[in-house]
Amino acid sequence: MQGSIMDALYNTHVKLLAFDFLSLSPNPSCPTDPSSFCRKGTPLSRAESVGVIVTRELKPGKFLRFIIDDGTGCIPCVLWLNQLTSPYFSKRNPSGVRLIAQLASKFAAQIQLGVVVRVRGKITGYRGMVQITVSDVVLERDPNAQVLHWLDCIRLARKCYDKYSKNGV
Amino acid sequence: MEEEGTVILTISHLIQRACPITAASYSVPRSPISTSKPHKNPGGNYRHEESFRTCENPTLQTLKPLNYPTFLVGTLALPSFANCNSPIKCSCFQFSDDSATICCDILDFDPKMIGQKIRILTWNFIPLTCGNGGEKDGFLEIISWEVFQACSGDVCSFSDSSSFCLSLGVCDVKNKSKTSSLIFGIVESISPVFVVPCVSGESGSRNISGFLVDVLVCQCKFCVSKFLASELRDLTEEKVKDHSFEKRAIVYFSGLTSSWHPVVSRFISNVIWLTGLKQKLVFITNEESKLMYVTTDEASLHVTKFFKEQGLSRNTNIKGRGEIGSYTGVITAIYMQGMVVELDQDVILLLTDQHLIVPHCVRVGAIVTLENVHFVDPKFPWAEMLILGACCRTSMYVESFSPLETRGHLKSHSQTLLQKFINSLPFAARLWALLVVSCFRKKFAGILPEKVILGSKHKEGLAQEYASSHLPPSAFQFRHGVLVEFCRHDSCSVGKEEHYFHLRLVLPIANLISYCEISWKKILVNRENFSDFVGDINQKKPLSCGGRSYVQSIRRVLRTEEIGILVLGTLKTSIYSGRLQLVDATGGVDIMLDLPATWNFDKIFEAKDFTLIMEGVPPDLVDSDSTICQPLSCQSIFSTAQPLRTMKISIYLYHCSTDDSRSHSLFFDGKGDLLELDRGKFHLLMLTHKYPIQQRFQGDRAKRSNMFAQAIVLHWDLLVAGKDKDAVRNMVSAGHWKDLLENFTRQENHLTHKRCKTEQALVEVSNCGLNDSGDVLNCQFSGSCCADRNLYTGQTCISNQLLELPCLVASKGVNSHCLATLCCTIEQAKIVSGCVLPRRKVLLEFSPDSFCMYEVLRIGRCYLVQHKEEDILCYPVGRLKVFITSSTKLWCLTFSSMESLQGSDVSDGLQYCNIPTNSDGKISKGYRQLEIPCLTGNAIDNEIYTDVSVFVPSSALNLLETVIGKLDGGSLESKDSFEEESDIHDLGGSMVNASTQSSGNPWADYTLPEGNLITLRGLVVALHDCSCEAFPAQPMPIPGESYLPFLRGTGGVCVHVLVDNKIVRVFCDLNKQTYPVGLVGDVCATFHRVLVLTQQKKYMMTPVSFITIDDTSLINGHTDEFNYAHETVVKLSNTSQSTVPPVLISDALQLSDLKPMQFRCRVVALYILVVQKAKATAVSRSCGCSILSGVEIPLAGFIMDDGSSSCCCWADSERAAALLGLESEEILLEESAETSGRSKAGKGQQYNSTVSHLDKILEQHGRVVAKNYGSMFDSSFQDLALSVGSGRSISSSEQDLLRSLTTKAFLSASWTIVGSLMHPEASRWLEQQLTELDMAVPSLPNVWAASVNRTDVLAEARNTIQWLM
Repeated sequence: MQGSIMDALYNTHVKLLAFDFLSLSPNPSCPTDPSSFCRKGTPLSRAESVGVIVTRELKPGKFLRFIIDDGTGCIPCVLWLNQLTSPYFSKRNPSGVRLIAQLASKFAAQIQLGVVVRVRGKITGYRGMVQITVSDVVLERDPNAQVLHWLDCIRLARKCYDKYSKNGV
Repeated sequence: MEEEGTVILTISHLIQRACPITAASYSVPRSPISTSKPHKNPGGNYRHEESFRTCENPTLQTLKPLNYPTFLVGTLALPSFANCNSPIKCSCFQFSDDSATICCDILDFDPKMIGQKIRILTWNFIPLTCGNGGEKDGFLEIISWEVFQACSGDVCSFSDSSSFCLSLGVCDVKNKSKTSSLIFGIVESISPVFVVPCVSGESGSRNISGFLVDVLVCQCKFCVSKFLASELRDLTEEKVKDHSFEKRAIVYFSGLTSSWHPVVSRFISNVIWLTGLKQKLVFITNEESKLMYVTTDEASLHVTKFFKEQGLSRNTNIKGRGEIGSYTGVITAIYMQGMVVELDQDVILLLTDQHLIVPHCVRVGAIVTLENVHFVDPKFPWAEMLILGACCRTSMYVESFSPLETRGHLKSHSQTLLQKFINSLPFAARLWALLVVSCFRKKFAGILPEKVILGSKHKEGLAQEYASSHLPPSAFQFRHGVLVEFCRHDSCSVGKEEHYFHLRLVLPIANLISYCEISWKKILVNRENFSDFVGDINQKKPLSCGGRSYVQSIRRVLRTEEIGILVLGTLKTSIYSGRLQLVDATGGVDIMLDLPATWNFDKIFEAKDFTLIMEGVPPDLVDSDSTICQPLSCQSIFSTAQPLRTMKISIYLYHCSTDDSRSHSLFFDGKGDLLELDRGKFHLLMLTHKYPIQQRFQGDRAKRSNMFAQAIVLHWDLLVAGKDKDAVRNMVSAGHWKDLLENFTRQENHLTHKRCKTEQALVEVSNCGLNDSGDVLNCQFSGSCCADRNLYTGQTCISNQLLELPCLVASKGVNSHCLATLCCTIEQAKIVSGCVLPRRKVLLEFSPDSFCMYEVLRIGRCYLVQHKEEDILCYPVGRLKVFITSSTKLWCLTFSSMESLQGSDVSDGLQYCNIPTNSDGKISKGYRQLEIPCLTGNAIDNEIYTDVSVFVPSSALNLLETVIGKLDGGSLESKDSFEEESDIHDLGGSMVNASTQSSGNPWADYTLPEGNLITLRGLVVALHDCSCEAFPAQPMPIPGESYLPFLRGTGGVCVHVLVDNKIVRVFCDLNKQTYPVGLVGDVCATFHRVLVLTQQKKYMMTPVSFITIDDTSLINGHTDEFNYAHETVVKLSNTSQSTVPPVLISDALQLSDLKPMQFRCRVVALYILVVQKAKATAVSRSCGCSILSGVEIPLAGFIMDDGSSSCCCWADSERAAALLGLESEEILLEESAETSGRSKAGKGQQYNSTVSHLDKILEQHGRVVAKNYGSMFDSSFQDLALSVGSGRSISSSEQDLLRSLTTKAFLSASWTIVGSLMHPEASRWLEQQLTELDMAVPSLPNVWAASVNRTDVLAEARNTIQWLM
């Protein structure tokens, strides 16, 4: 049962505060997988974060790099914008790829300095730093959303992530 | 220049022709000539080019040019003031030829032209009519000229070719003149020509005209030496610069030299020197004198051309507090007979001053320069503007004549009281007062005679009375003559300007509506620009009701306090809509207001603090060209053009009850209307129902049927004795009445002990508010009021065995109290024994002229009506009808406890107030106000407009409460039967006939719906237009059976009301005009006597139903949009969820039971989605599948993630639609069972567009299945395979649409889902379904969603933090 929960957690978008997120280390058990990271021994691959956009660097048609500050630290994020040109997507359904590309450019337009966003994506490494490769972005209009995210992070860490990590280690 | 065939016109010819023309000595081109000359604006405010573009008025024509070359020949002369009988009341130059003399103005003035015969080459002629007889006259605007015949005039020893000399005779300046006779300096300001009455010994009294000039002189050694004259002879520009002109000197040009005024006024800021002066001490008042230079017969004026523009530095440090400066601008409008001139569209020049001489060429289109004008920024909250205030030092000249065919304004020289009043004010207040006058003229045109509005020479008008009541006494200044004011210029209204920013703009109602419409547009435009970031606030999600979606209107609220406006008018009931309106001559606006029953509808009502509510459906495209018009500009008030209502939005005023009595002041109410009760007997009525106004649209609109209301006659009469101060004092002081009560109750105890148990219960109820003794009060006073009672024995209708309560009566606006007795008309024993008292219902019939009275009556309140001889109210017969005419008086009544009056000296003028206070101002202890039987449920009105307060012993309050409560019989909550309505049918036959006739009885085929009539009170959540098809009375409406006959053909309104935490729907068959103003979302409303429709939480208005709005709920949400209902709904939805424990998905995995749990999660990906066309006849309530605009979702699985783990969430059609973002929030709150009927795409909204596209796809393919073969944990890696039922291929645009539909799910924020793990049976069903679609059951926990709601973030955060702590 424990194992299945651990597996489930691997595919779950974990809610981590930035300081916690930045302390993730590459998963030693699968060094080849670029999106496998460990938190206190628990393997994780996806994360969710809420915060203010503090930097934004756009390479049109390629990617958008930005940083989310959630009050406890800054999480670097990357949003790929190359779906229509990348060979990686060439095998997939063109209608689906078009949609993904459209969505990505919509997200890129939404990501402006100062706005509060909720992002989800894969945990990846870049130049020795842990970052989020963004899958989707939602603008948060409710100022309480950030507070709820903090509280969720604390609750999940206490009730879920820490609980299994001890057993897992 | 002169061409052959040039015609010489004569002035008399022009005057006779009386046509405004422009002409030239050469052939004038067809296009209008340009008259402007380049010049500079010292104030830097020169904006005429821009202004001209924007002020283009299509009605203004350019001056018509004469189509042949022409010129005028004549002599230019100075005006003559020597003869004060002269008809010339202006100080213009005079141009005369052999035929006549007229006023003129010259653009390129050269002083040398004076007295010369000149030929005028280009000119405008503007006809004038002057004098009472309307004599024809004219005005010449000289644009270019040349000397026709030089005449050698007097030679001045100083004059050369470059300088100019003006003298009365021969100018002989000696080199050694006395310094006192010569002045050398810069002209700073000039007064208008004024007349001083003089008494001289020989010739008797005569008037001397003259004017004053302020000259700045130099104090250097040359200027004070006697050689100044010789020094000036060799004056060069360089030499002038050596002088420092600082000392102020006043020169008085009197007598013959007064005609020099137009010349001197041309030299403001120029260096001049004057000779032939005398220094004199001039008495400006009886006590005050001033040393001045006065002109003599030898006076001469010298101007050297060199020194033109050697001016003063002006317009420095102007802050708008009355500083003096100069301004140049284009005249864009002239209002109020020339008293108000608008420059450059937003600068207002006030020329109200009586003595001011305004050139005739001040016409719309002219460019003028003002010197020495006061700059005032009034800081009015309603508009930004600059006021230029003209005073006796201001001079005005034209830089360029107007090319437009506009006329000049001649000022009237007689001053009315109103003008005097206006002139006594500082400039900001003066403008405001002028606006008030203009507004009053518009508002009351045709209602009141002009004389009443404006007043006369001896009587103040309404406008003045109003304006002066709003101004502090300090605003009024005594005005002196020109002489005094010019000399004491410092006192000229400077420094007081900043105190008038509180003055509110009085708006005509048409302007108010136009303001609302423009604000509405602006709000929409602004919001549209923001919508990218904050979401589209302009569009509420469509409301879903009965399987259809409806566009919801949005509301915007403005506070008039913040805008700085107020509205006056009379209150009237509209003959079309039956709604209360604030009306003036320009229009009317609906108003929500609580009025006292004794309100005099002839009075002028001043709505000061009110809320302006606009509501409507936002258009798809907002017309954004509305920004040009400024609805709160002076222009809009002064101009005669009346704005028209252009938009279909509902606009109404909601009056906010505040403590400030001025906020709803009855302006001009005076003290005439005493509301005091006369001595005598009054019956008490409690209003239980009002029947709505019956419209007779088909017939004569003006003719209206009578109105009806229903009341219960209370078993108490009020006998008012009169004002006996001593008796009142005795009664209140030291609990004198308590002793009497105790005496009485002691006797009563004896009786009470004998009563049965049920009676005891009542006794206990009555006891709860009693004083210390705890005795039951069943008062039967015979002592205290016996003296008074004897008065009425003849009139009393009931036997001697009466209950009587001593009381005091206070009337609104009356400072003293009256003694009175509340006399029960039923035997005491019946009350005490608690038997059901007979209800004495009475039907009140209001004649058309007493509609206003009908309007002010409120259901659930008590009213007093005076007893008449043989009054049917005295006879307890079954059904009564009382005819209420305009002469009938009703007083609204409340009961209060007498203890509250203790400690205050009642007889010495205790003021009437709702909450009696002690002398120290604190609310008296023990004060209780009896809530009049709460027909309105929990009566929230914090300010009841009570006319009469009846003070009874506090213990008696309990008794009254019980008794009245019993009489009322709890009619609020209980269901009244149809029997109730038969009253109206029997008695008010005309009503039934009216409605039957008007619609030609179209319901003969239908049976009337049957059911109970009840009263509902709740929060209106939303309302929408609706047709009868969408609101069937029965589940399946079949003609011939019970149906809603009122709905045939016409649309209705469906109101969603939150009652006891449940949404119910009330259908109004009435069109929008007949439900009360203010029935909108977020208000509390009571629906009286609505018909219950077959247990579906549906109700219907009937012709007897009446809606009342609980006003106070609006007060809370006044900012931008009322969100109260929405919040309540959210809270409600959350409370329903709160019973289900919130869990993490990871925890749920470990639970084995199938109890409902609450998850807060987001959609990660789609697992499978089946969308199909809804069956046309399906009313599939039972299976929980709602029909959404023809789309049905039989199977949908979403991968959800809450941060702890993932699960697959399966949902029915409605929940799936919500998760896909297809449904509006509102429908989630309603029970799925309520959806019915066929679905169609609604009106244009984004939501509908997606759905309608989907509809089209389903129309073609029947069914679409989307299966995710890609990642279940990453939205960007899901791989959707789309297949359709038709077997045809799906086009790429269809694919795009279907894919984008699924993305909405994971782009939404968090969902709060109540669901449970699937039980085995459901799992089997799922497996079967999926197998048919070649899909496996996902290896995740499978949850069936029972409810889906958006997460209330704040509430969740609160819960989480509590959990963490």
